[in-house]
Amino acid sequence: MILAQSSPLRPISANGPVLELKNLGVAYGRGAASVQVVHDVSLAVERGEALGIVGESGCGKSQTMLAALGLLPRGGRITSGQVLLEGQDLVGRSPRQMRPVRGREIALISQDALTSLNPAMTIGKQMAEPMIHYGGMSRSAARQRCTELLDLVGIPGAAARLASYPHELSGGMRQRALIAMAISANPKVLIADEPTTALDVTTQSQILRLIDSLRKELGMALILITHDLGVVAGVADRVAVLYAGRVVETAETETLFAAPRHPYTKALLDSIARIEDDVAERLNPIPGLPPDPRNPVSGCAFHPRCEYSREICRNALPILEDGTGAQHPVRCHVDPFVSSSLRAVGGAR
Amino acid sequence: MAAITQTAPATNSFGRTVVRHVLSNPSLAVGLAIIAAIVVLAIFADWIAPFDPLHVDPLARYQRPLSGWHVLGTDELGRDILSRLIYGARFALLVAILPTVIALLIGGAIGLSAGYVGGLWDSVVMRVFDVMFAFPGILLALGISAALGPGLSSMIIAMVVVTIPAFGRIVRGVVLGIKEELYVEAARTLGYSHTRIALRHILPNVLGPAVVYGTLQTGRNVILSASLSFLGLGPQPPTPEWGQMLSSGRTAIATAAHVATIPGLAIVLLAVGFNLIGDAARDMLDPRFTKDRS
Amino acid sequence: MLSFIFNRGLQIVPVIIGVTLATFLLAQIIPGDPADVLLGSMASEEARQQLRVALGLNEPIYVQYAIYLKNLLQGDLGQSFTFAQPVTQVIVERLFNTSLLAVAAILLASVAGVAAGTWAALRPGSVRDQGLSVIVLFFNSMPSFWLGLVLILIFGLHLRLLPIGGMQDATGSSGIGSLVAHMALPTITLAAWSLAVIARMTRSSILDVINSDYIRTARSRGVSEVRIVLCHALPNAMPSVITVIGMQMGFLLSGAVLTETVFSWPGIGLAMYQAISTRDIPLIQGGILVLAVAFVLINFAVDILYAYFNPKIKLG
Repeated sequence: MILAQSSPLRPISANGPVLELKNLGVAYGRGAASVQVVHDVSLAVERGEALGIVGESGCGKSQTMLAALGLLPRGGRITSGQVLLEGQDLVGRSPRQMRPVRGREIALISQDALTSLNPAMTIGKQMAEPMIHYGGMSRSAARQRCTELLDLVGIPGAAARLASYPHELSGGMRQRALIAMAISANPKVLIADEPTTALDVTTQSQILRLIDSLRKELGMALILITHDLGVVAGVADRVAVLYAGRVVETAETETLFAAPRHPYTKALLDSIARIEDDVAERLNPIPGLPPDPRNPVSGCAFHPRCEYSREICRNALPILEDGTGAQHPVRCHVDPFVSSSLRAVGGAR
Repeated sequence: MAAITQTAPATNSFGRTVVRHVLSNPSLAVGLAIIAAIVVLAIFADWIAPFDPLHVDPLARYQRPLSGWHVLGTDELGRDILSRLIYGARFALLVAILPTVIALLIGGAIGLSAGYVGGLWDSVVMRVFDVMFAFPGILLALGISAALGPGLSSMIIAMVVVTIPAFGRIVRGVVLGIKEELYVEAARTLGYSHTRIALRHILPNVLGPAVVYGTLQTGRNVILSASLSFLGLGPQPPTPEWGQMLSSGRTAIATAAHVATIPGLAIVLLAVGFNLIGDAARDMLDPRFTKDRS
Repeated sequence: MLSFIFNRGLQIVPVIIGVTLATFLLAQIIPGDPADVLLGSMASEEARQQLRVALGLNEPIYVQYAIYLKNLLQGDLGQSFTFAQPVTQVIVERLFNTSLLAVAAILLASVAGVAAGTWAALRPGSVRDQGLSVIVLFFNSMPSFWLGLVLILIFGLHLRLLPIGGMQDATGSSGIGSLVAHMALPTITLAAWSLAVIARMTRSSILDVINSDYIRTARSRGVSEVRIVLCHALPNAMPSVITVIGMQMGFLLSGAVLTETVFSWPGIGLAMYQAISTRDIPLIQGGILVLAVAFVLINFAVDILYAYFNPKIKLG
């Protein structure tokens, strides 16, 4: 497979995570109007590993990943921490220095393929652009390569599709084309930001399977951002749950599903079950709304919606700690699903 | 014009807020300062102007600026250019503001009724507007002015007629947007009359866009009126009108350039003032533009 | 695409009919006896009566309009007493000169305006961006005839670089060099206002689309900022820019009256200026009608261009 061969520059046996975020903070605006949307997020993904990042919309998932790519919208900035790509810090790099990283080291699949593809350019032209202008490929070689890529992501009649405009493709086809663009430069890390939200259920699972198989085939690390725990279930090796801009729980996927420790994770899991009963429930799986970053909540940000909330939850921010030593850190004072004594406290409230 | 009156330092906190807003927006402050200065000149022209603007002095023709008693020199008939400019400010302000206000009222009423009533009236109005928009720039104004015969009043009529459609269309668009909104529905079910709904609920929403467009149009009217005057369609000589002064000074451009260029500078200054205010007003109504500038 | 052109073409028919009605009505608002104005005050009572009969001025107004339309369809726009020629002939002789100037000006305004707007959009908020907005403000606050005078003063009279008028023949028989030299100042004068409007529109449209998802996609693939603006943002900003360019054609056609007057450019506008002082209403009517119809047709062409730049319309 042409696509799977690793570039000679890539170290074959580098140890440690390929991408690591350390204490990353992101804020918008300056001075008194400054709003912190991501606090102290630490995450790591190993070579070839699939990491799921889960949380409701507005919890800072996308902001974290855009910050990692240096693609925060105007007004956004990294306030603290590091973004380590194979040990090299990307924070503070100029746009010019970031460019070789984007696409080639870390690639992005955005959620809405219709708005994420340039409506005024043919699929072929936008796919080939970085290959021709930054990859030193000839026009015909790029064309050849684009056809292979579209083939690889399962677009029938790939060669003919190069001349299509995005609006001429179906939603699923557009998403596939976007995926083909993302993997075109053999990235080490693929960030997929809600890659299936805009699609119908059947297409969703097809796209997920495609992303997963490409990851395995190309040996990429995958960061899958979603609000839907059901999406990560079949794909991710590990899951990080974000709430109000903070990591509240991290665990192996199976562990998380079998024994969630944070009440928020538990509520998210319950919402999956409910979705199966009634699709309409999906819009608001957990009672209440996530906090507005402009009006931060004291203590544990989840306490207003938490049925186990106690006095301490209102006053003190819990730290992310791995109490059980089972590689399963959680940010909760109460931790009702592990400790029966605490559950009793919560229940007695 | 609302913005100008609001700058008078009021005793209440609203006045202070407005003053702070003006000061925090340098281009608005500059625009208001320019217009305020020209308004003062126009009002107190009788006291400020050093000479009679109509006084002809055959011995003092084409004097250069700063060469004698005449600060900005004299024109082809030896009249004092500065005094003519100061008196001309009255006409300049009049032909910038008055047609805007009249067109806003008439166009606004037409747009309001077309948008609110809909149906045949709406389509007739829109077809007529379409035709009027088909006339490029000042052409229609030129035609109306020329047909009615040159002069101040026919110039104002022409300017009003050609600017009515833009006001009408803006107001109609806003009315259509809010007409079906819930609170209008609610008011209707309570049994209020149509007039009351239109005045109480729709008018306040229409006012903002209409006034903003009005301030922008005032700047354009400075140019439009000067252009009509330049073509000989405005107030006739010896009236000290800026466009007309420029036009009659044009023949001596090679020997006494100041006679034509100085009135032109005055026109530019007035237009800059109104345009700065208009841009600021638009930014206030539509923050999208200010965001771009950040 | 063909059906789009056909449908849009059908829509302009009523507008053009409306334009003829409006120009017809111009003669109706003349205070007093139109025959006086149409013939000049020197005409004899006999000639006036003849004209009233010829124009059907004694007939009801709708009959007069029918006569006007009938004459129009035969290419008869009436008689210009300023030039002692049929209006149609006066206009046809000058149509080329006016078009030449308008086309040169719209090209200059579009190319320079889009370039300047794009250049500013590359660095929003920078010194160059603020510099552009100051220039836009001044160009939009400057009467074109005044700019023309200032240019004449600087380039024609002080620097003596360019001729300041007196262009007699635009067909190029006195050499392309002379034509270009004669055209330079009028073209700049005519283009200035539109250039500013187009630059402003280009800048704000680019900044509007620069936050789009597809721009982020391109950035996430390592595309350079210059390529982002030029190859991704600009084409998507083009539809709104083209619309503005089309509207500017109107200002250019009417601005021709002022610019041609300042530079004595032998076009329709100069003839109309001469007609104003003699109240030669048929010539003014005819000039307005021709320029307005040209404007409608240009906007028709712009709509087709718009569709061309917007693949969704082209194929829809």
